[in-house]
Amino acid sequence: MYSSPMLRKELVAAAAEPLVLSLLARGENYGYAIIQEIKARSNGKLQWTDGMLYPVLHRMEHRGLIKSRWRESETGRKRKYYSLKKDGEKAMAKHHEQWSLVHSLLTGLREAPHV
Amino acid sequence: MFDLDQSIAGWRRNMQSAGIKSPAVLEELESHLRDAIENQVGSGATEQQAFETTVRQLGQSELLHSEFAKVRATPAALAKHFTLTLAGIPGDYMETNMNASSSNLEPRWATYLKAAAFLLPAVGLWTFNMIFVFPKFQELCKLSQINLTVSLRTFIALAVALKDNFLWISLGMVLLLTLLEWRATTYWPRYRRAVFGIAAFSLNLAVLIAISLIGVLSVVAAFELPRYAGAWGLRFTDTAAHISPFTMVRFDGDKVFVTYSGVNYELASVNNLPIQQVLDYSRIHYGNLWEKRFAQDLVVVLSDMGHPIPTDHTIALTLLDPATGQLQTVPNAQMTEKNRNGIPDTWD
Repeated sequence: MYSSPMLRKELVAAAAEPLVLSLLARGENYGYAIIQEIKARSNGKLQWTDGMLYPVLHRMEHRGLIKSRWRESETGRKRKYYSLKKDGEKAMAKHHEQWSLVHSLLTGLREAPHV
Repeated sequence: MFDLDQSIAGWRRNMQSAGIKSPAVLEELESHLRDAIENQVGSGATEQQAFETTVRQLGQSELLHSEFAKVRATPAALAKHFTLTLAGIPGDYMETNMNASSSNLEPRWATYLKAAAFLLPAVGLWTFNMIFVFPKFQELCKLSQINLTVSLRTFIALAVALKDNFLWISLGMVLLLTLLEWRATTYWPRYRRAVFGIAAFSLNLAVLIAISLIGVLSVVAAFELPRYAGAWGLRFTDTAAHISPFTMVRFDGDKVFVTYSGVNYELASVNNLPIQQVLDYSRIHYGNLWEKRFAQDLVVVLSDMGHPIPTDHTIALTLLDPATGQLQTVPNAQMTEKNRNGIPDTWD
């Protein structure tokens, strides 16, 4: 049986930014929670090497897509929370547009009758 | 006995020795570590198991360091990115993600910087020419009295207009670009590079042609110059100026009567200058002596007026025969010392 394949490495890398942007669009969040949520939502099929998310976050912050702040959590430990900036919203919209295009192309090709 | 805090401290040292030195980054990673461990302990793992799994999942410290290094732009990495972007090669450094940048447009700074770099030599040379060479060139043209075609005259007029309105033209350009950058954000970025490329090329070409033209024309004008050598800036005491085509000059109001080759005429023009113009000039510039200057020192008068006599001492005359009323032109009337010395000082 063809069972729950993991996503290809390139696709995972390419999906990192749109996923993080879309997730942060739902509210500010911190690294560990972002990883957990993606893992849960993809049923574990999309897995990051945990540490690799942080360079991605930092780069996105560097590019002005997101911003961060240190905040104390309920447990009293400090966590670095990230949230979307205006440029991030724009970038997210663009990502969605492009991924939808690829998706509709794929589905269209599969469903279209052979000529 | 496993001590979590001590293990985490050890992990931090490990990270530091791999090159991850920023306290903020280490703090954030540690926070992740503690969250993950807490979570796993909550679902039944021991602290030690949880720590080991989490550290493994976080990734190798060297790999992490190299990823973080891409975020913090080192001068060397920046320089590489800068050079590649200027060369039009899509920057490899800034994007690890396939989709980090959805545009293959050249960034604005690269276009402006390149345009400036390509235009700087041309603008510099042109400015230098306009300040130091062009005025001399204009003087040379005037001195040598070379005949310029209409297109060349237009070119010179254009250059002068450009020089005189330089400030306004630059201001206009800046305004236009500001407007384009500000309002035309849909189309302008797509065409920016092409527009700048074409503009820089055309401007460079125009400057090259213009400077070459000035050079060639200067050489041509310079060759014309010797014909007038010695006739320029003559003063009344210079004996070389003591020559005349006439043996007699008489004034009657605004009329000048002369004797040329033994025949009496009314003088209409010299060297294509209407006689009235020469009279007016003499009256203004030589005061009471204007008649003497005109009659005896015509060479100096014409030189002062910017129409020097060529070294072969010829002058173009238009003479009116008072008897017949006919105009007669003498293109190369010879000016001699003998003639001049024969003119009597009847106006003293």
